[in-house]
Amino acid sequence: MNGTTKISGIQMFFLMVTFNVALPIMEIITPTVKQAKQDAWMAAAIGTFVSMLFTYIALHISQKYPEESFVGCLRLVFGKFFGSILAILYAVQWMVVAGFAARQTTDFLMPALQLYETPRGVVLMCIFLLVAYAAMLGGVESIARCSEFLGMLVIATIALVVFFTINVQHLDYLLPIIQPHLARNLAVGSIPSMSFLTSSAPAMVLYPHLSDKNSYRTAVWGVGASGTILVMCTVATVATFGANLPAKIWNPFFMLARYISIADFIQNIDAIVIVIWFLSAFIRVALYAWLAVETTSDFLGTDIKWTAAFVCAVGFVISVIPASIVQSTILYPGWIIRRIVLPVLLLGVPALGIIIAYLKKGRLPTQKKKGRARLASR
Amino acid sequence: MRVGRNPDRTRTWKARILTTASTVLCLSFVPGCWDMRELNNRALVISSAIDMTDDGRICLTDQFAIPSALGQQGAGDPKKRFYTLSETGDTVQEAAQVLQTRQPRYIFIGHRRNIFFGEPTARQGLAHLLDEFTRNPESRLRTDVAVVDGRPGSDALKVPSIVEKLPSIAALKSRSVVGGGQPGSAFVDFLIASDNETSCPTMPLVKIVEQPEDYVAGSPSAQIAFVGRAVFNTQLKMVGKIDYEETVYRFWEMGRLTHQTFSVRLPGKEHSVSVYVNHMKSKILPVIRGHHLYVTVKMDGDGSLNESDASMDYMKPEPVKTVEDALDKKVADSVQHLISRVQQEYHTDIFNFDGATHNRYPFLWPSLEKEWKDLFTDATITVQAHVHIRTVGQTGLPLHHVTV
Amino acid sequence: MRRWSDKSKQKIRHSVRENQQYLNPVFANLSDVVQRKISISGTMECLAVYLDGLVNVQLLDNVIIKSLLNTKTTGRKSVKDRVLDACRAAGKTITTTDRPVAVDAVLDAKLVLFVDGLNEAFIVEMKAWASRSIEEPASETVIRGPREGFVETLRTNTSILRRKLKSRDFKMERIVIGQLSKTEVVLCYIEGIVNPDVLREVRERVSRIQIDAVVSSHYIEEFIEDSPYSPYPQVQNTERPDVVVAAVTEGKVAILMDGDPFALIVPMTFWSGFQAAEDYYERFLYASAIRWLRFILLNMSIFLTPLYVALTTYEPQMLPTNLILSFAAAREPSPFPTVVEAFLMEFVFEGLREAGVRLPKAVGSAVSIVGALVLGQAAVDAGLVDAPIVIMVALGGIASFATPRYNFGISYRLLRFPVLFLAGVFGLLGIAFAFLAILIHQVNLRSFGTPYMTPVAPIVLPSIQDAMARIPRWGLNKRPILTAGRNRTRVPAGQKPGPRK
Repeated sequence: MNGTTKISGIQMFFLMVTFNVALPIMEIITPTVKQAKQDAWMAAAIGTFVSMLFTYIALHISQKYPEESFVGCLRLVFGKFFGSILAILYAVQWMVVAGFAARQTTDFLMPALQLYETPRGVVLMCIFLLVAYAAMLGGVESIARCSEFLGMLVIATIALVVFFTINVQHLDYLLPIIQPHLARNLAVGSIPSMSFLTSSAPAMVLYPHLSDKNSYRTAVWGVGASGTILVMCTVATVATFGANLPAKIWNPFFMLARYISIADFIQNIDAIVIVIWFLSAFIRVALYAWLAVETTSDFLGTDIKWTAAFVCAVGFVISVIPASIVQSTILYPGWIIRRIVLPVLLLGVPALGIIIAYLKKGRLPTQKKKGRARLASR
Repeated sequence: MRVGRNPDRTRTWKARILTTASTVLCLSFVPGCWDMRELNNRALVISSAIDMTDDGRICLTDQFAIPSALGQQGAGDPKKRFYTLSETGDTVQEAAQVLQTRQPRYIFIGHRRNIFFGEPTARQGLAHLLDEFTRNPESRLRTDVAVVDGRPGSDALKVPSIVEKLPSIAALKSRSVVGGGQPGSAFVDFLIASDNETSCPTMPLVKIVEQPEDYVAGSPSAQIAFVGRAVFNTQLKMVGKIDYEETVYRFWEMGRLTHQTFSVRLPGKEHSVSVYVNHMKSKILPVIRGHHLYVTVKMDGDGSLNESDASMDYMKPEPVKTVEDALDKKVADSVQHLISRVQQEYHTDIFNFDGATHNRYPFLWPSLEKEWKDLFTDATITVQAHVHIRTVGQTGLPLHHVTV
Repeated sequence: MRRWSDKSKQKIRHSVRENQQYLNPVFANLSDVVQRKISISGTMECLAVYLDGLVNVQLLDNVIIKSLLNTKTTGRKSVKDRVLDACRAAGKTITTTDRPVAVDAVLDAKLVLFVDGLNEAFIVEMKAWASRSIEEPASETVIRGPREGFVETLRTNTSILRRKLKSRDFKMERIVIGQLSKTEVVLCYIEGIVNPDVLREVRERVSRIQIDAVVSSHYIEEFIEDSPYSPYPQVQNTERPDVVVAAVTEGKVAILMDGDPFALIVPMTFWSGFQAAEDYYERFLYASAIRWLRFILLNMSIFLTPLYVALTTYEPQMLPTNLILSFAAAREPSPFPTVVEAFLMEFVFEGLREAGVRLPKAVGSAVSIVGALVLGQAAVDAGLVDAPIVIMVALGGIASFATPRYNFGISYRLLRFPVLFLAGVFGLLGIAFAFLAILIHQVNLRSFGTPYMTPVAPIVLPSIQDAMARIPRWGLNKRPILTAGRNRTRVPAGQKPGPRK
């Protein structure tokens, strides 16, 4: 697997969808509903739109330096020194996020599957072993192919959950649309979805691996598609449980899955939904780990496989650290992600970067269309 | 298009490491199966009942299934299919813990289909009892809850069912058959209604009925019957009941009812007709004028006339009109009566007027919300009902002779 | 050939006797070598050497000897030309002056004719050996479609193929492998359609093989796979010429071997693992539905028993209440943990299958009766195992037999054990782990450069339809992108039938 691994535009799309669907469904709905009440779906939609915008901006920077890797791109835009610092920040952040994403997953997964006695460390170890397996065996290629397969599965499952709960959904719970302080609530309510969906930097790391550089827009559409799924889930949840209940439940969407009853026979299928959801969450962990691997090995020039082993080990250690679900799911996303990572690394850097890139390079000569998107032999 | 061309040595070396690693990993799992619990090591709780003891403790009663008595070859004696155990504690979990000391198998509540509260307990308030049923991840969200009319909840667990394998499933089914909503939705509906300041939750009300005329082989039997809804206030204390007929009207008024048969006495004559109504719709139109709430409830549905003891020819339009008018009046009067009774006696908004007002006046709502109880109690209600009779059955006049 | 280093000793002499003196020790103890001295009208001494039973002796008698007898000795033609003419009438003939070449030719089932006075030997191809007649292959039967199958004779097989593809672009490259067996292997492909990279790779891998004898095509398969440690077969095998033809027209390469009726087809994808030849001979709607059915059954064969174990011992709340009561009732008397029971029953099932496969048919049915009826029923009645687990194992077993490719089915059947183990340890989560591990392995597998899960992961747009459903012939316009070379169009578009206006 030496040499560069390539992914196609379709794979980019599914990678973004699978990457962005799992944890957000679990963690966005509650804070969004808390803030925006029955208009949570609007807040989520706004968050999605902003995420798409910034993902697009980030890819635009990459497009100005199509031959450069992510670290090279940062160095060219922000200068060698600041670029390197940013690269380190990103790499560290992704290692931490990989650990935390795995931890959040198990924090939710294990009680829901009634694994009380099973040691968390063993489960986390299995997850990171699988991540290492995927990252070492085929790098982003294997993750992308898994996401193609799992993406379809996850989307189908979510759609089925929403569909099967139609008979308990009361769309009047979504009314009234107008509420006092609507604008403020929507703005604040869109932050959680923004913080999860904005995939600016990940898209920049993936960009050099695109086999057809012109298909970079698929990443933006991927973010949009996952945002659409999120909006759909928010609507279904609020329409089933009203505007108040979901704000108090950790994972309203799984309550929804638990509430399914088909012909009074298929009931409580949340465990199956959770398992399929876990597959998508796994892609998120794996992709974060891979982002860290890619950036680190690019920065230090180390061997990909050993870096992957190292990152997985670090991620495993980080994932065992938090003491409780409150730390992993509330404090970390609330304080670190929403106040530091989102404004600085996910929104600030791309926004600043595009300005600097324009100042440095001026308007690009219009991209030559390379004819029909060639499906690479991958 | 690359093909592994590594020398064989590295391959075997890699393979050895992989084999060793996976063997070690597998071995480390062998003491595992941490959470495995066999089915014959679990005691399946089918129903629970919560009552308050006189000294303020919680008395938990669990109804367990006896799987061996429910075997494949049809179940045996209805009374021998289950057993109940009761214990007290300060929390539900504590009571369960004490109960577990007498139960050799792990108590498993994932199949709890019903939770019963005794009426005395419900009147004292449920607020401190409900948390366990939602917080515990094992607990089933799709559960029915009910208040047992005039008796402790544990009594309801001791009533066997004649046809169903388990009595609680019988209770679940019969509620949805009589139009009480989907089985298993009562708890979530209760939670949603209890979750804001203005609307008041209700809960199905069951009664243990013994009819001496019934014939059941063996001993005399009792059934759990649905007799209406228990009305709670916002503090989740039961304040009153509405009977079965009122419940039907309320569901119609809230747009939750799909079909129901109504019987009405025709004016001036000593005759009754029964009309099966479906496609039921309702609209709540609130108007705030000054500091007063006016609510117009518009209800309509499609009817089909199924029984009539009057010698009237329903092939003509006039008799049909007569029936429609009588039915409309009856429905409107009953709903009007129900709402004003609830307004005067319970002061609890169980009719979703708050939701309708919230939709209509989103900006005014925060100020209305605070004085909703008074607004609701003083509200002027107008009910308009209309049933369109679409079919009149297979005959015009009754086929047999009716003496007038 | 390298054994005789001295060049001068290896030339064929003029005298038949001398040649025979040389041949006798070479063919010592080779009882199947016949050395027949023929004297033609007293003027010409010949020595015919051949393997008994592999050469058409009637041709030798009726054509060669007869025509030698009939031609006049006094003609302008030389002796050599006369013999050559006679031999050519019987079969393709070459001459050689080397003794070792002559010896090899004898062993290669050719007739070698030494003529007194000529320092050359005539090598005549007139093979004729007993061959199994062409029958419908037992491993891949169809209800509708061609009923011929390959036989053990390579040339019969190539003739069947050639009859189906009468194009000069359909190439059959010959490679000989095996020091002792000298087995003839033929690579079949269509030039212009085959992907040249794949072809080069196949050629290289096959000719790289160094082995003493090749007995079955699986010998070759093991040498040319991409990931030898994978449980999945990465080379497809078939006994059906029509399958081979369909494959080569898709740009794949078929490898035929002398002595084995199974042809190997590369590259193989996951999806071809559960496609039967029949799919393409039935109406496409039905075939598509069947394809999905097989896919579901394939997954059942691996996940059903583990799922039962995980659901009953970890997540009983997921099953409907009435069902869980039935399961609980059945479970009551059972002494083993469910997962142990499952392992036991899987073990017994595999044992029954193995016993049934190896035994003669008459005994085999007895085994299945004893196994299924006596063992299963008695074990349940005695309360040793519970009935649901027997049902699950049996269902899973049947599901694994629904895979049309036997080797594909067994690889899955094997995977069931680790999945069962994980399900026992982690419940549903363990199944998810197993699923992920299998998926990661599958998407990283390659068969001759083609990703195994093509065209689903990676998604290849026009071809994905054919994996999901059986597209009707007139709609299948393009060849699969990854296997085919330059020539992509398969069926010109616009041939959808319909009534003419």
